[in-house]
Amino acid sequence: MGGRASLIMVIGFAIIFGIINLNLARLSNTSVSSMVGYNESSTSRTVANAGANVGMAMLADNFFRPHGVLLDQNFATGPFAKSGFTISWDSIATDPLKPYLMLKSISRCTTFTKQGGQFYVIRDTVEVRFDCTRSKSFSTLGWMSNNEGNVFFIEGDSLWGNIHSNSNIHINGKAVFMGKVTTSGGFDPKISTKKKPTDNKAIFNGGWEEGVQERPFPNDLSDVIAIARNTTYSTLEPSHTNSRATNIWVELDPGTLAEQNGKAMIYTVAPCTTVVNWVDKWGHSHSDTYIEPGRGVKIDEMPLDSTTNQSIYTTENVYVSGTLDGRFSIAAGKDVIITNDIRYEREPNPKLPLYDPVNQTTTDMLGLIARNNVRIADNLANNANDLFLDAAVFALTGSFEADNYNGRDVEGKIRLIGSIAQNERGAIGNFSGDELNNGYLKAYRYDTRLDNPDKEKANPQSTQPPGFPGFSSPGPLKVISWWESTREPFDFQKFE
Amino acid sequence: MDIMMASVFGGVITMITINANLVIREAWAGFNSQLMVQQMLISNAQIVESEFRNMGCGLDVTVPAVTMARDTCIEFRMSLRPDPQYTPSTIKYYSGAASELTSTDNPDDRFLYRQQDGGALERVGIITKFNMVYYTMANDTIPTPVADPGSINIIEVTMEVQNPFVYFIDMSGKKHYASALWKQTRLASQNLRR
Repeated sequence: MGGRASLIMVIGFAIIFGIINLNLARLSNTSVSSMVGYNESSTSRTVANAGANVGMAMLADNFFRPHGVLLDQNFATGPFAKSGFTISWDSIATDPLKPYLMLKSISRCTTFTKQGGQFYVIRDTVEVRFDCTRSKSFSTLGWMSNNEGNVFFIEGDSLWGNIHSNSNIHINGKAVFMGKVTTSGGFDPKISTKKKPTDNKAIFNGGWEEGVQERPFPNDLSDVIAIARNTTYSTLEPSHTNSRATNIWVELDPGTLAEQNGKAMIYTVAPCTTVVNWVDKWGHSHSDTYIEPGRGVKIDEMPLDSTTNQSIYTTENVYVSGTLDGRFSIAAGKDVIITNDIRYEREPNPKLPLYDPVNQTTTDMLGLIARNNVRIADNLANNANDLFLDAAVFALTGSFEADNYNGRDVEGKIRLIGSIAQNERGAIGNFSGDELNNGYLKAYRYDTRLDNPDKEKANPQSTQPPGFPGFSSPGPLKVISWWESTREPFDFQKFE
Repeated sequence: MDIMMASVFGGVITMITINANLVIREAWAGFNSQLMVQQMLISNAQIVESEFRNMGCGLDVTVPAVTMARDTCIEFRMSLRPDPQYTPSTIKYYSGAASELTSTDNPDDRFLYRQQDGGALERVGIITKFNMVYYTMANDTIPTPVADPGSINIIEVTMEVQNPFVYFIDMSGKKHYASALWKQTRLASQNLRR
């Protein structure tokens, strides 16, 4: 009797403790599952981030990768075992004026739980977006060419600002470069050294670098055209047309000495006949007749100021001269022709540092932007005197050049305060050795306001003429946002 | 004699059973509390972590992401969608007062609040501690309240969740609550590092 009762009692206790143990084990398992679930969620997110970082490294190595899947990677061992990621690279055209590039990394992490008999896979997404509209404006370079052709920098040439060419740079003699000189090709001939002397004895005060990544020219002038199309005026002056389809003549009028009252006077272009009488050294009288494009009928008068980005664009040629008070870009679907001096009402002084009050107070800034060429007209106004040119110049498919450079008179110097970016290096004069036979000498100074890091950080637009073309730097990329998918708390108890 | 021996054995067995029951109840309560607390903490942590990691998303690099930073309160801006055209929102996280939760045994528990664009307060969960330490890019600690939120590069978040109810009172009368601590060291949004 006693033995049976003892047996029943022992079995009873065993059952009770067994049930309790099971429950405790279940609680313990669930607790561990929660932590493992959190760990797997964290792993998934970490894998997605790792994928994004791998993608960034791949793009830094080569920005110009085809869109699509960059890498699909699975991990069989290590801390990321049973997980992987897919990295893709694409552009997003949400806004045609401001496209974005996007790097997307999607992770997959196989969990220990099952759903429908299959191991459940959790996924996380990281999206990194890049602003690909522009990294730098071409005006940040004092001199830039896509192709130098066979033109040499020679002794006596002095260039300020940073210099870059997507092709070889040819140098003969002691040309002086005040800023850094970079080339996507190399120097021709190689820079002279004691061991290997060459004719390239240039002085690089800012250093030099060969074989750097190209600064690709844009395909079009969409930035400045967009500003021309989108410029709106107050209801008091609603009639201005900034986008045209005929040849136009633009005269910049600074107004009074006060700021903010400049104007751009727009005229039609009409043939203009000028007769010049002159007497040669033998006393014979001559009469030359010039027929050249001239100012026609006034068709518009646009107010300018220094706080608004304004531009005018025509699909044809635009002829320009005058004095600017404001921030303005003049763009042409064909050529921009400089008919006379173009100056700022308040000129910066490139010889003074950027922080000097002279350079801090002037806000006048002009861009001359041509699909083809920016040309200096061979006309009476430009005859036999220096040409003053305050502007950032850009020639998309052509050059900055002087008309009839090897047939016109010896004019003087082009006194530029600004920058020049051109597809192919153009000619402005004809030389025999150091002697100028025709055209112009160079006196180029870089407008340091165009590469002002402080203003660029605050507002990149303030350091360049409105809509001035720029280039996407291949790296480092400009990340505008890094987004990681958000996750609802992951409840593993819902799974098998 | 038999009756006495039976009483002694019966008493011993009863004592053992009662003691075992107490131990089991304590262990069970502890496990249960720990489980609940862990799940609450993980839930809170995942919500906070997900949102903190996107801090500054969609903002211009010149605009500071964090607008206000104290040790128990943070306000920041971020876009809730990855699309850069999406208007960024202002999100605020802070721990409420302990006096708001007097109905529970635990005197330290409080709500963790989330507020979006100055709208209605959302209760993310119940916590006992929600502390933040801020670091500069040079890894220097920034004293709170942070005078220049733009200098914040890394945020260290510490969150503790305790069970609202006591699971054990020891011999000295001290109440014990199941507790879990989450410390996300150096939580840094990639957007703060641009």
